[in-house]
Amino acid sequence: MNAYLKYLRQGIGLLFFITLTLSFLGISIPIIHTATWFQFIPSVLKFLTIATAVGFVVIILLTLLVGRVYCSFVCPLGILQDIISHIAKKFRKQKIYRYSVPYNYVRYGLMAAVLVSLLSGSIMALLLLDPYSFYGKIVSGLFRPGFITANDHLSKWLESLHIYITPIGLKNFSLFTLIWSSVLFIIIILFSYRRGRLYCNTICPVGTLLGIISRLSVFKIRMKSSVCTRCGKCSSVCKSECIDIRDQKVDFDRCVGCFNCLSVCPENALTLVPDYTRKPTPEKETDNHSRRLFLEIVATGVIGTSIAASLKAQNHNTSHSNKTPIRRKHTVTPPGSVSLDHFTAHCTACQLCISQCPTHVLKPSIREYGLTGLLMPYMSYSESFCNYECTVCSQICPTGALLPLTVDRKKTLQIGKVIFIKENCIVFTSETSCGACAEHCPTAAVHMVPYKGFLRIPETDQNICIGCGACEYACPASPHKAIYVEGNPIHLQALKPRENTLETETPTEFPF
Amino acid sequence: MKRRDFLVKGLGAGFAAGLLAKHSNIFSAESIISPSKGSFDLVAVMGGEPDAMFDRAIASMGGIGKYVKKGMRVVVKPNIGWDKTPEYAANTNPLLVKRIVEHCLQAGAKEVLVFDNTCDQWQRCYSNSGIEKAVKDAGGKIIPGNNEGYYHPVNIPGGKRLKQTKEHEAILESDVFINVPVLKSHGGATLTIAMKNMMGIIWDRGYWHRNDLHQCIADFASYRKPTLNVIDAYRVMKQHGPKGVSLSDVTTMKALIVSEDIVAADAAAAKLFGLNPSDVDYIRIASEMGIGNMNLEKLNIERIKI
Repeated sequence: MNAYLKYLRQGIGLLFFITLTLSFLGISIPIIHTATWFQFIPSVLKFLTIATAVGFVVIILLTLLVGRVYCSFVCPLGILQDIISHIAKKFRKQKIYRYSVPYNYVRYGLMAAVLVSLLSGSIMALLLLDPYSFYGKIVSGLFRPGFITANDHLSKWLESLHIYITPIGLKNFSLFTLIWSSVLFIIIILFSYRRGRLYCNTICPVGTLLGIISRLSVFKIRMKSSVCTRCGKCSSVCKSECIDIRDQKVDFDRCVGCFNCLSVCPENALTLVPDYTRKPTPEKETDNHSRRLFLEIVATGVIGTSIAASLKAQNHNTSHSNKTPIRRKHTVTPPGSVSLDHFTAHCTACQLCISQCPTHVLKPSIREYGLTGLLMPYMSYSESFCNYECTVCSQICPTGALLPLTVDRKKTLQIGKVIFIKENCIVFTSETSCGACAEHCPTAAVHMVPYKGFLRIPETDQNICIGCGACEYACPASPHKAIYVEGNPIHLQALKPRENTLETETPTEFPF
Repeated sequence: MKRRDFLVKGLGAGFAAGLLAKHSNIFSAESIISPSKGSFDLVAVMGGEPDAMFDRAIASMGGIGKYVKKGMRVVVKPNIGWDKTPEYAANTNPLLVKRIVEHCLQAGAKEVLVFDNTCDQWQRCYSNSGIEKAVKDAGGKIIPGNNEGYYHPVNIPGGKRLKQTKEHEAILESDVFINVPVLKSHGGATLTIAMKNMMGIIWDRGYWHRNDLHQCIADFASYRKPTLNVIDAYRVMKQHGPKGVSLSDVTTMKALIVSEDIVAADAAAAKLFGLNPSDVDYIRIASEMGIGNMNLEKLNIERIKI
């Protein structure tokens, strides 16, 4: 029975881990919606706009029942650390874990900072610390480019053997994101290489919060001191370093519910039992201590977040060409994001939409949303454009930063408006035909009208433009494009494309 | 041992019978029309379904066997540029593509490859155009065209503005190249037909747009001459092309044009559309460059009405 719990944890954990990992690599997995529905922070955020997103309530109830099993069953960053420390065990000198004291100042401080940051209206702390989004950044930013490159080289090589597999195409690649994600991955390796779940019990705000909740858990792991022989086997496999053999105590606050200890105890001294014997005295001391800590750090948090907010970078472009550069006043936010404000208040930059977008039009931002919006997705039309009939990003967003759209709604949802810069246009500058923009426009908001001689030049109609960026992507003018999409800070309703009936007759005889 | 032999042979025979049954339609007598001598420069058909019109046209051209010999590698290049379903006529009719692939395989082609360098997201284009399924059903191979690695530099010796471009290796390695465009209006190029369809076998289209689109289209046609051009004018997008907005842009013309001469084929299609060939600048330029003949009066044309 005791070992069974560990296998259950490994099975469910791997299911979540594999589903999320493949999805962040860009593969379409049908059960992804279930896997993200249970993610704590995304669920809380989505609940703010969609009342059915109650995955976090389930997690809280589960924690009240058996403790922080979320950290070992559901959280991909937690499972990643288990995998790293499992591999590391083969290389490191010290093969076992030992009890350590918690770093309460850091733990409660960071959690306080997150709360203060949220109360002051900034999502930045969550953007940096939400473990699910942290994991998404690592896979999407670091492993996905590698995966795509490997796949495309393989497909190229197989084609020479006349075997055809799907190339993906690395579009809108961001070196900055690659470096950022590498740093995050190194941080996780450093934390978990020797110390197992030190990150989860020191940095992670979800870990800290669920730890506090787990004090009220019905079932807890308890050590029967009468049976325990102090052999230390349990402590040596405890990734949370929370089993104190000397005092025969389990610091259940920090227990991530991996159940390794239950499976190794030869005396069955460790058991998951209903917690009848609540001893409030020693814990109350910790509580007081935590409370004081919490208040101390609140002040630091306030200062920190206000500095961060004031660092919001301004969009600025430099002009040093004889042609007119594009000056976008507002970044174009993905369809379903309602408005710039709604979007930047709910997105944790988990990168799931970026990974899943079939046209790869979404790119992680560097300065587009300012520092507080680091790596949030924006519509980048330099290498791709948004497919007219696709709603993948809006359907897949786990935080409600993008709200679900139907295909019909998407077709008249105006995320931005087309702007034509005639003096950059090839028809104007070289007086030759082009029309690449109008060719790609799905609504004929960009269309060609007679110009000089047989030449035709683009004309735009903002009322029916939806801001998909096909024209901007297709425009071959260089160095500056002649047509671009100006973002709508609040998304609007576009008019339906016009349907004018054909005037010409269809021939019934051969005209030659 | 005998028992094993029996099983192996039995399975083989069963498999072969299954294959025959699956493709039985291409072996049936009524679908294959015996080829004529094939002395026509251009064959135009009107009034039939896309596959039936092709059967008639290719028979008049002298049969597919005139072009496709046993063991050859064939590329069929339809227009699959857009994420649109067949009734919008933004892509070549899948029934026509299917029939052409079947003909080629029946003539003994080693393999028949189909691809396009699409404008919209390529997998959605392949599947929503109905062409991916049509090709697979016919026994051909639909291959990707969205990776620059597949494209290799080629020189255009006769080109005025286009001297070099990158062409898909399937075309470079092919014995037979059948160009199967759909006739459509085009905002930039006036019409897109056979010559314009070849923008889907090269990589950098932006270069053509920047450097006199009409001249580049003609330049490329001076270098790459398809074995055969089959123009789909079953449904024709008369406005808002090449992508189109709604079904009101489309008319049903039920026509098909087949020719070895790409300029003549485009000229005849332009006429069907209601324009003079010289109204389309790249047809005029290509004719002047001697790539083909846009003077339809001087051609031996077979006109078939079904």
